[in-house]
Amino acid sequence: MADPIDRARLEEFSDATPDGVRQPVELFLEDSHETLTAISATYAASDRAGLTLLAHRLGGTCSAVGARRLASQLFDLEHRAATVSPEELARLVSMIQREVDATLRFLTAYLEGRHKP
Amino acid sequence: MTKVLIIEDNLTVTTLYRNVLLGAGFAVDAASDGAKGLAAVASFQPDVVLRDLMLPSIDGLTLLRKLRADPTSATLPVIVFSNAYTGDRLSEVWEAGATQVLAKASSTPKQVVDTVRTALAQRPSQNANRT
Repeated sequence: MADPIDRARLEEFSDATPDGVRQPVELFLEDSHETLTAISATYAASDRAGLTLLAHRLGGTCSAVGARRLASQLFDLEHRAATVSPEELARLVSMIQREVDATLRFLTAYLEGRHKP
Repeated sequence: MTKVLIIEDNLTVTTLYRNVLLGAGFAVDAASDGAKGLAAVASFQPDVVLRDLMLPSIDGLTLLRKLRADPTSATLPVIVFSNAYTGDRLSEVWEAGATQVLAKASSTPKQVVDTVRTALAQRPSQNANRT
């Protein structure tokens, strides 16, 4: 399976030095962690309109930084949250939670790897 | 220094592109919704605007039409940067007066900077509408 995020795209947001890359990565980590927490709470509250907005917001970030698989899943949630069955909504949210977790693990390891001597 | 105004409600995307554009030598200001963007066009007087399509308070198409209807911003380069394009929506964006249209998902930071530079180079007449 392909990496959850396009490292080359991410590095274009920096001067490609370890410290330079850290800033966009940390921005993405913070945004995706916060938004995933909000998605989980909004899903628990059965707020489908809220899910649509949150999916749009994080989807924009993911598109910009090259997290294409997650962006595609969020696009799906944004456009289907209002109408899908409760079972399908649960599946979409669960899939996004797993992909965010995988992306965060990948990026954490990526940052650590860049700083190895 | 050439000035770029980013109008975008996603703070992470704004921060990422603000840094890229600053690194490319532009002066950058940002607004988080359509109304603030309209006000920033008047106060910051950008040379080019890079903006999202889906915006709070004044939606992207209305904002673009307002800019084109105002003689002081009628020829201001406006690059629409979004993922919210369907066939009809894309046609509306062009008809409303977009200078260029980019998809967030498929545009690299370098392509965005290049598009800003191209839009600036193709301006009808620099600062012609300014006093």
